[in-house]
Amino acid sequence: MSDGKRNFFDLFDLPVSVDVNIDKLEINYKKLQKGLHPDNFVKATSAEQTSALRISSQVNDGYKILKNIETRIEYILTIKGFSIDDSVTFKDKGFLMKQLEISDFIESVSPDNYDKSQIDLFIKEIGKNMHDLILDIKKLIDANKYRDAYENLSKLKFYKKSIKQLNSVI
Amino acid sequence: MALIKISEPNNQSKGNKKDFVVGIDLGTTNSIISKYENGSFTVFKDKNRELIPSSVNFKSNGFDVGVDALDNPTFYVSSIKRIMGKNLKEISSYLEMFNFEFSEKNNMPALKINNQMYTAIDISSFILSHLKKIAESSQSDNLAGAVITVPAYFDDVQRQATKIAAQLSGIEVMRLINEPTAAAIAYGLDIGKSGIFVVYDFGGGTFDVSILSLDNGIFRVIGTKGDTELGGDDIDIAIFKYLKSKYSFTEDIKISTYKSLCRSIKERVNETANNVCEIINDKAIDLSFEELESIASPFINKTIEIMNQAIDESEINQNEIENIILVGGSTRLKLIKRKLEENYQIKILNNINPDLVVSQGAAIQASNLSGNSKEDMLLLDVLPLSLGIETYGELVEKIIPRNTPIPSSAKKTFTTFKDGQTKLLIHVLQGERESVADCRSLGKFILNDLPQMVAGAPRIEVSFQIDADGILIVNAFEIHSKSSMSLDIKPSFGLSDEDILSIVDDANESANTDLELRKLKECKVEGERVIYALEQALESDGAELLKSSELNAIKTQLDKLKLVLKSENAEQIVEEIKNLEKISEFYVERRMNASIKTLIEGKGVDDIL
Repeated sequence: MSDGKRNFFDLFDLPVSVDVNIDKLEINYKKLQKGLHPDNFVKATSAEQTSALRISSQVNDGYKILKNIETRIEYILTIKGFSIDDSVTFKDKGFLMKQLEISDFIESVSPDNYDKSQIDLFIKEIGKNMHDLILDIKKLIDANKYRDAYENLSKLKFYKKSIKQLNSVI
Repeated sequence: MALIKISEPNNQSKGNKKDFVVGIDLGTTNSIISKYENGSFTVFKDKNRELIPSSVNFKSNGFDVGVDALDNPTFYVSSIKRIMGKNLKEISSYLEMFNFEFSEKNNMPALKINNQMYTAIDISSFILSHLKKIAESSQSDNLAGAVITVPAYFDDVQRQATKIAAQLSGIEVMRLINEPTAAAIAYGLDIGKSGIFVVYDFGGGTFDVSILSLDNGIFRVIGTKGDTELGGDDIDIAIFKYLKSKYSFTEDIKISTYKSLCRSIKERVNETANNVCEIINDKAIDLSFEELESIASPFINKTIEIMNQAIDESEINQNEIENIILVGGSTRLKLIKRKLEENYQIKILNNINPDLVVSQGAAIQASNLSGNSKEDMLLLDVLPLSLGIETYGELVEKIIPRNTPIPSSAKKTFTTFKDGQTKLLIHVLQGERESVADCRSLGKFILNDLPQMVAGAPRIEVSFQIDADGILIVNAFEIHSKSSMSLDIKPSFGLSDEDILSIVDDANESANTDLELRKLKECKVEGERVIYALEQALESDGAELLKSSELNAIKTQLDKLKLVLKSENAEQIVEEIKNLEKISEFYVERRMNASIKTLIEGKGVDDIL
């Protein structure tokens, strides 16, 4: 749908923005499926069935993309014409050190023996970093600096993955 | 809300018989067929039994199905669902359950009986035909369609197999739905409250757990997990193995002979909580309640482990869960309720008969899909297993991850790696593991007629579409030439579309000598349906959505079809229907887009913000 005139934000009647009104997304998702899901077309002509299958899929796919912050940012970058290329090298060399530091910390945690207050502190700090990154991404997108926004998105993904890893250990 | 409402223009041609729709729970041990009309259920009975054995008994002169199959079993086939959509290698671990040898037909395991080969699809189609006959004869009406349930964890091949079996038996499948989801529909209607529910579905051959959110008539599956090789059957087998070693039976006593006895021992010990004595091979045996619980325990622990994973993956907290709903005959085991209560502080619901609840939910959905239901409900389900394609190094690249809401689609662009290459092979797999060998192969798609270009130049866009039944449709086209690509599908096992058509045709031919006449009749009904639908649509918004030149083009084609409908030429009718559908395709699109607007803007977006 990104190539057409209408994007997923339009489909759900939402402004193109990193911040999304999740309640409105949910409500409009259900409204759209209530009318467009193939179940409504069991007795319709095959042309309509095909069309309903396609559009209902788009509603599902769009819902999934917009619901999650990372895919949502990625999607906004695509709409803005930024082509995502995993081979871009990062400007921020300092982040590599941070990555190592975090990975080391997670490795040091063992399920039977860990300091809860230390972990809470660690998660709190990552949470703050993520919050700042999202604010940054918003500013960068507004300033048309998509490459930098993408670099920050990669950092955001790393943080999120780290928290997930940590949670699976403890 | 269908955009084009269709009343049946040809109802009168069927005489005074009415159409009715049913829900079918095609189970491992028993099947149930029921209908839901005006707020009440009717379960169709086979010789007074609601639970119809999913069994076929082959005799020298034909076969009996259902209750009759239990009389004088000579060559008795049951539990066939366990091998549905599987190959010989995959079923090797539980072949001992069956009393006979398997050979192969169409790459599927098949039974050789009276010099005929029967696959699981064939046997299932016999069972479905039997169910159809029971419902039609008690109703004296036409069975117009059915919603059939499958385990949530069934993969694409197993779903396809079920659909083919229904086609072979002459049943129109309105929708395949997942068993736990069907149960949730029946309970949802019963309890009528919103919230998150976990369905624990332990049947004869499969275990499924589904997590659903219920909200004002919308049943949304959040996540599902299961094991298609874990069921009450396995406990029966474990009991047999236990007794065999406890009483030192010789190797030659077979599980297939004593399976139903072991099940009956299990049921009686569970029910009475007392020892049960029986005779096996002239030896008196006995089993206590404690022994039963220790035999069953590892299986139940496994189900709880799967349930924990499903809850984790759905990213919900245990305290958000309203109820655990018990489904499947095997949940009568007292141990299950106790273990669930030990592990979760959640109220358990089991007030609807666990044997009938799945069929009831399917019947409600059938009635809903037929447009005759007062219940305004919608079911949103998910893909149970990830879909992927083979990439370098025999690895699987996921293109649609599991638990994605369906229908869903994904696109992927391929290119060639040799100059002038004209064919491309795409291997589609399903499963969660990384290597090809550990996933289920759904089939190989060969793209033919690629434009001859230098390596890497063609851009072939392949779209993978999962429909509302959870079944995959693949389409491909080359971007530069915009030409669609012909696609050969080589199912890893099972049948290709042509195979199915030829089998259905064969079956029809023997039943109905005048195939040509029937085909003509069907074309005419379809033609009238299309005309009716389109004219209704044009009347409501044709002027609004179409330029007069567009309107005229459609009308011209409408007249052409009307004219040819008067002839007796089936081929020409089909052709003109296609032409009409093609010429009005953009109009259907416009109507869909218009309805997106109405759906969102029509009703109170204002009260959301």
